[in-house]
Amino acid sequence: MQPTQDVLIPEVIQQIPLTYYLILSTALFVIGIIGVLTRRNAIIIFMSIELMLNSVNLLLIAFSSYRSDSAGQVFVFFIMAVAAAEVSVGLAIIVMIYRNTRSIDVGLLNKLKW
Amino acid sequence: MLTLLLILFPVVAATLILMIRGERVKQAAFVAALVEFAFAGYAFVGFKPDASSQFGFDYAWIRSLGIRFSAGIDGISILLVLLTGLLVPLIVLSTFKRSYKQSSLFYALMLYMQAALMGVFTARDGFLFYFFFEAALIPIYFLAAMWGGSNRVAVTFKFFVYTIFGSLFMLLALVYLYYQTPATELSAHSAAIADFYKLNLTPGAQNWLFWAFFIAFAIKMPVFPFHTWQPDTYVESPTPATMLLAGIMLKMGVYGLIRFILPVVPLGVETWGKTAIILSVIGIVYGSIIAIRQRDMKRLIAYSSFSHVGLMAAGVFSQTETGMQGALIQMLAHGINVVGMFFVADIIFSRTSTNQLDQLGGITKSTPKLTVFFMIMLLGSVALPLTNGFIGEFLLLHGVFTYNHYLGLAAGFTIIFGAVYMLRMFQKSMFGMPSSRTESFVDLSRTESLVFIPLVILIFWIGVYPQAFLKVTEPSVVSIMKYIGTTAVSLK
Amino acid sequence: MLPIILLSVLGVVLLFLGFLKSRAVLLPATLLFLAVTLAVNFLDWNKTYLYFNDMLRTNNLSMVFTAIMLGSAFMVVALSGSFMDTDEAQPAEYYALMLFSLVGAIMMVGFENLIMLFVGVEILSVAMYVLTGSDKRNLRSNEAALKYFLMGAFATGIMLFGMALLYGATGSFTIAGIGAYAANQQGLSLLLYVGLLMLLIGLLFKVSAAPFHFWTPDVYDGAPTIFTAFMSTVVKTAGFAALFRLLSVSFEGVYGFWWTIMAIIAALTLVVGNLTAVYQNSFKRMMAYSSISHAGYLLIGLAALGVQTKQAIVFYSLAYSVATISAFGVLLLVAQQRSTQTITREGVNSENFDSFNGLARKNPLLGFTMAVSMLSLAGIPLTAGFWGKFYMFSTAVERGQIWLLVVAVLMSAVGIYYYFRVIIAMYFRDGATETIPVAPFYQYVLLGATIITIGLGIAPGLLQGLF
Repeated sequence: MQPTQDVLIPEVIQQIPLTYYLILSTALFVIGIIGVLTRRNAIIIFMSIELMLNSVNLLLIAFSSYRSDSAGQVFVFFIMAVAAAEVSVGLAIIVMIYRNTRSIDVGLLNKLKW
Repeated sequence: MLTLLLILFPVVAATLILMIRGERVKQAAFVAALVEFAFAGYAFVGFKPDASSQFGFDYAWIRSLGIRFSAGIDGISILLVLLTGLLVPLIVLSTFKRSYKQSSLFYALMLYMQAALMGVFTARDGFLFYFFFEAALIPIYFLAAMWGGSNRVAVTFKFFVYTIFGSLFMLLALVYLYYQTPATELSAHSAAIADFYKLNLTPGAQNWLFWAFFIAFAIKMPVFPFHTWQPDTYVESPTPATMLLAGIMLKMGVYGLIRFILPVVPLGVETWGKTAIILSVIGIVYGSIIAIRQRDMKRLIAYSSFSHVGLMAAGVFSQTETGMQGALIQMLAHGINVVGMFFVADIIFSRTSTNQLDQLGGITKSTPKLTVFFMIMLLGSVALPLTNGFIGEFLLLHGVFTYNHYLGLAAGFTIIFGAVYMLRMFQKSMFGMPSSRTESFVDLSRTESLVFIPLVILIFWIGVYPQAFLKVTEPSVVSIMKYIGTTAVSLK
Repeated sequence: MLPIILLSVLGVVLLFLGFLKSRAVLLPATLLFLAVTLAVNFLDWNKTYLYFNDMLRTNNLSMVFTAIMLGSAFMVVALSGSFMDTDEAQPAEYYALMLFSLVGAIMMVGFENLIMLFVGVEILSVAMYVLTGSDKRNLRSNEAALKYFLMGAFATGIMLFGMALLYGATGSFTIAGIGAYAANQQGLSLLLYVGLLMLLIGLLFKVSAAPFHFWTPDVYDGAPTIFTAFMSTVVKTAGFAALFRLLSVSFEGVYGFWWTIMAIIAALTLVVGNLTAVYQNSFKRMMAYSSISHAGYLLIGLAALGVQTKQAIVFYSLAYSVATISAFGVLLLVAQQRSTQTITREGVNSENFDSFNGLARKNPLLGFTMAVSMLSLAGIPLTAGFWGKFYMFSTAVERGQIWLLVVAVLMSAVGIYYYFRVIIAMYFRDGATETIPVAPFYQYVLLGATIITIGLGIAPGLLQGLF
């Protein structure tokens, strides 16, 4: 995890150790997971997933800066683009369900036994 | 090439038969089975009595794995090939009076079954053997479950799951053996049975391989305590299917013992052979005792077959030449006898619609032909001298007796008990006062007699001049014995 | 990488074809497109190319996987006629989405870079979310779509986090770069292990391996049957192709670390899939659990990664896909006929095992097709499924993973139980089944699938030397 080429890393970033970013992203990610597993409102679950994705983005950017490698940041663009596509489909599904049931509580969805 | 013909011809014939409708199906199936019998007979006559594998063919099947489509006939296969070729036309002939719905499917399945059985008895590649071993199950399952009795679905399903379950372990054993064979850069591993014989396996491996094979074959035969599927399946299946099951299919198990267990895992046999013999002998005595108490003819024959096959297994595990020779000849003899017995039961059922012994009786009065044929079949089954059963059982008992006197003695009960339950069946069904069901019993028709005549000829031929058969099998048996001897010695 | 470009363009073309008054042109057009793509796919045969700045690779293996998926899609589309004829259906969109999802699947097969893997997974998944929910008025379909979407996005999140960690550990997104790092064996960063685990979990979600399988039965059950067939074959094949590529190229160096995990997951998947399948009353749901159990068999090949694995996975996916699609094809017909007899809005009853009672009497062809696919799925000789299992088992024997094999063998015996329920119902039970009219083309597709299954069962060597 030590930076490979020290020269290229901006000083501001270097002041904060990489581990901090790792811990922060992990914390965000875990919050997201907990949200998905415990919430019953489809929109909130959805938000939690977005949180997970964004924690990944943060982590990627941190790694990318410390390694002075642009690939990580390119990946972030991909994630953002794809996540946008996913959001549109996801929201459409939630709207479809709301139209049929007037609710977005996932607990009400029990037509299929688990 | 003849072997390929033996396997492929029934498949082609059956596929053609599927397209025929109506009464002609029976004749077509019979002709096809006769042609197949001609092939099998030709193989028997042209067979050179030595240990080599003859009439063989060999193609690459899965090239990169070194698995070959390779089959041939040696001394151990030849009698079973003959038996399969002989019995199927007789079984087809025995159905001429019956009519089965969807008859073209019925006869086609029988011929598919025959092809798979031929494949089992001639395969020279371990995986090919397994392939046919399982493939034989599908037609017989549908035969039994589509045309069987009222409880057929549950019973045949049990049979199917039981046997598949057992053979899956055999598959594991085969795959293991396959990976033990040497592989070089140029050639892959080999699954040829002959290569399995050459392996030097550790005692530990031999022990578990023994059980993996033994369970598969023990379920098929069946050996105590794996027999629970058998009586119900025999009773519920339509009689032609029962004949296939008892006459030929259970021989797959005994054949597997000789072909695989003895030569491949001799040390395993050394360690566990005694357990296997004891289980077999328990089966012999247990089957006989249960048979004595049966009231249903088919069920009684099923238990008697269970008892007889136990003796064959015991003979094989005695690891003596006589035991193995006995098993081979007894497989032929038992196939003939048991098909005859089931046919008798079927004839009685077709005339009286019952097989319950207490509802029968007094049939002899109007049926001289049936009585004579029944008696001869029965004498063969109880191993009267000059019949085929005697030769087989004598050799088998001799083998078991050499192995262990007490076990030999216990196994000897099979003859006494056999006489008891068989004669009891004969007496209850044929003698005594005619019941309401048997009053107007009609004697055998010409086709029915035609089924019995070849059986009778064979019963006496084998009984009087067994040498014709024994000398064919002997070199192969000796060569198998060699593997038992050498491996056991070299590792000691 | 022509198939990707071709499918993307043709998908758009299909959307425009949807403006035509006549719907009749759509099905043949889609079939034509798929056939053309299938042919084009083999242009690079026996050559290895890197495309798009080294982001994708084609080799014989990736082409064979692509061919399997295109073939599966071809069969699914060919069987889709009746569903697309309903008033609410929008066939142009559905077909276009299927083509788009294939683009994603092909990317998953040939990725050189984790970015491509991610994009491929998402293209495939997003299209599938929509297709799952395509029966808009049906609550079951809605519910399935939502569950699939939430679980899929969740899994993607986990997978992405894994990728980020791998990037942190190795400084590379290319599978070759990660492979070079992992091959060092010494001083591997902890991030690599955690990243690998999370990436695996994400992908195992997609292929529905236990304990990440819980969404599968609901989604398969709720989705319109035709898309269930698509999902359980194309998505699964792509998922396993991706897993294989990842594990064999990038992580062979740390085999010692992940094989136990994969082996345990394989065993768990087998046990859960098979045992739960026994208790199902709905055929469709049973097929969902059966697809879980087949994921278990495929995982055996991965856990015992070796020379044989490649071949084993290809053969197994092919055998499984063909059998599954023809089974669903028969189910479609039966369920359709049932639902005209007894109108059930939610379509539950029409998919139970009882619906198959006596099917073989009046419809010998359908019965035979179904029986062959059930036998193949159960792994009985004479069918392709047997050799699939055989290859899988031999990989494990080669690695000496006997305990895994024993589990697999026991579970195959359990599998026979529920597959045979269908056969028993069709052949040995009496039911009020009428003769079901089958369009000739539909019949040819089913027959073709049956012939493939039996042909590969008798001569498994046919696939040899292809890759």
